[in-house]
Amino acid sequence: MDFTLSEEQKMLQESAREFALKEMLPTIREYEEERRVNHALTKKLGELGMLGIHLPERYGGSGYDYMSAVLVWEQLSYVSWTQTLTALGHGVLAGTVLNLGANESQKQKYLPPLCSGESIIAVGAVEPAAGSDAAAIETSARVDGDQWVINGSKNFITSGGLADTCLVLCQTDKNLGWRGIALIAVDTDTPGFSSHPISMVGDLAGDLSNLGFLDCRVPRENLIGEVGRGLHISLHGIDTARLFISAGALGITQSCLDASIEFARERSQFGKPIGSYQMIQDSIASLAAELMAIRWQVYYAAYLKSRDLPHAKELSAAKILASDLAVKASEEAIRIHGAHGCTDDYPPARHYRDSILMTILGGTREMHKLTIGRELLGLNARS
Amino acid sequence: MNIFVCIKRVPDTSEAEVKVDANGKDVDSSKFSFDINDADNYAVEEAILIKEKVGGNVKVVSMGPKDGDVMIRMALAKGGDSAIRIEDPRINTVDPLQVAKVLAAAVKGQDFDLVLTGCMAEDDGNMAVGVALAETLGVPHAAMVKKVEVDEGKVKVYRELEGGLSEVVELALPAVLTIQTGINEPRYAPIRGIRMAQKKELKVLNLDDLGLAEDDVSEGSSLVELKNLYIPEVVSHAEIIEGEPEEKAEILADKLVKGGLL
Ligand SMILES: Cc1cc2nc3c(=O)[nH]c(=O)nc-3n(C[C@H](O)[C@H](O)[C@H](O)COP(=O)(O)OP(=O)(O)OC[C@H]3O[C@@H](n4cnc5c(N)ncnc54)[C@H](O)[C@@H]3O)c2cc1C
Repeated sequence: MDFTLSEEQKMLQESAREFALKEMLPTIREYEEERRVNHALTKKLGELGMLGIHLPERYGGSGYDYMSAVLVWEQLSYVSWTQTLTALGHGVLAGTVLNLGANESQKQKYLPPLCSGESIIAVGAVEPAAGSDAAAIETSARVDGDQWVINGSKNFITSGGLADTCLVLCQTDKNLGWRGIALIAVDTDTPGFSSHPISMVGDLAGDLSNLGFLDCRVPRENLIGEVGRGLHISLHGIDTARLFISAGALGITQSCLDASIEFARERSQFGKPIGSYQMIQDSIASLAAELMAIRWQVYYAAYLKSRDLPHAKELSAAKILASDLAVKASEEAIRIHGAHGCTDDYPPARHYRDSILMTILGGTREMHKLTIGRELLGLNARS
Repeated sequence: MNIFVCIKRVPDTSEAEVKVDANGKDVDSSKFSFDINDADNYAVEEAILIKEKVGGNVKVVSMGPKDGDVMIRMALAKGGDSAIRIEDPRINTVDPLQVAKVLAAAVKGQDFDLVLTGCMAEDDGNMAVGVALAETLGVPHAAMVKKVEVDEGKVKVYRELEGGLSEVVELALPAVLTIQTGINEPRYAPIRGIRMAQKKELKVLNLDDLGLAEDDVSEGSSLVELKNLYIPEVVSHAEIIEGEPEEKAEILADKLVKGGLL
């Protein structure tokens, strides 16, 4: 067992950290206040090879393993998670889905501009009546001549309003259940497509949209993979996304911890730095202890996934622990900062808004507990 | 165009407290994080920009322990072609002339058109190595360079002088330029570059490889001796000015004028 990072991994970390501090930190507040997406930043992430960090080099990706990707994502999220969410929905989720499910010509068409950030691709799975239960989707796709005709709606889609293309999870035949589910690429300039931005508690510098499909007609060759494989392909993408979300949660926690340490050393009350009081030290030490342990769980899940080894319960554990820790860390950090922590003059407030989202996308805590339970007990609660 | 760029790994003293170690000749660097010297980062970028413009080869040279490899490979990731790291405990790193001798030995005998260094190292602040390197190599130099225009067999450089003045000089190649911060906008290492950097050559050389004798560059033969390092005692003289606001302002202004501060 070797716990040391390679020289190359240290370089990735350093490069991502420098980028986040110099390119994201100075503008994050402005973008959050104006509720705008920093498109230039997404392009720069593409130029540096971070959007397709885990995708094959022959399609414009950087070809790194998941461990390296985790290290990079930790550093980016350290500064701002909302600014990495665009990259997550696009590069990680859509990128993984296409790389696994698309045929060669689709890969050639979609992946290089995805990796460079030239075009944005979203994945639409969740619907008003189908959240955790993704197999229950109702958006329909039927064949008409050489076209698919798509009708339905999708909810909470990351970058849904920015995307050039949306990979839409559709039901082709209700009677077939998951065997009827297909993933179909819909360009967002297709007549009948509409997007409606939604406002969430966090992700203020990102785009989350509800999407509508009214008799959207797309060529039949826009089917990604085969009918019946859509759910599997999407779940694979979500599996990868949840690893990146876990990494982001580590970044948020580290940022909250660092900010708390700095503040507790500088802020004095009753004639002494507040960090000299044992209750504050307890908060900081407890967060640090949990972060040390949970970081290794995320790295272990990345290690297993990089080697294509079974990792469902390990990654589910990492996702629950890391995202819950990020929520707790941002809350504790705000408490340590007092009223200052409730303002955007310090990092914890934005992490507080974003961390709660992490507990939901990529699978809720309850879903991950069901996954771990199923693996341990051999009994599936959901069927 | 064959370009050498010399870089140094220096401690970031902004975050941790600076403490002098037990023998009084060095600072305790155990709490510091290290990174490339700021001006050297600009020198790397300038070297790569020149290469991108006129073609050629960028070789990175650094002196120091293995811990510097990440910094060196970062320069390779940005576009450097190969690197040399010089490591030898016999080298006296306190004397800039001796450091210049070592660096010169790494460059000498190879085809070079330009050698770029940072104009100053943040840790010892001598501003001497680049200039001494030119002297040792027997080539012209320009210091504190803010702009470089490469031409056939020569280079036109803009130097920063006091009071916002700039000086333009033309040097015959080969030459040494010490680069001022702000000359360009250093790039981030693209992550594909980081992968490629792992495969680029990084040679580790010692004095014997460089054909230098210990006597040339060791403490014993240096004309400079580090006596000791210390942290100046902090003394404060505070004076509370009493009175009405107008009076206070007048007294303060008077003091500032008399003290030569206004
Ligand atoms: C920031 C953000 C970005 C997102 N981006 C995308 C995107 O790009 N594409 C996309 O398709 N979707 C996206 N989503 C949607 C996300 O995938 C869903 O929100 C998530 O899958 C949960 O579904 P739901 O919100 O409908 O909750 P529900 O499934 O309705 O769950 C509500 C509650 O019930 C619990 N619950 C449900 N079933 C069970 C059970 N069997 N046992 C116990 N408890 C249960 C859940 O754990 C949860 O606590 C995003 C969501 C967020 C917050």
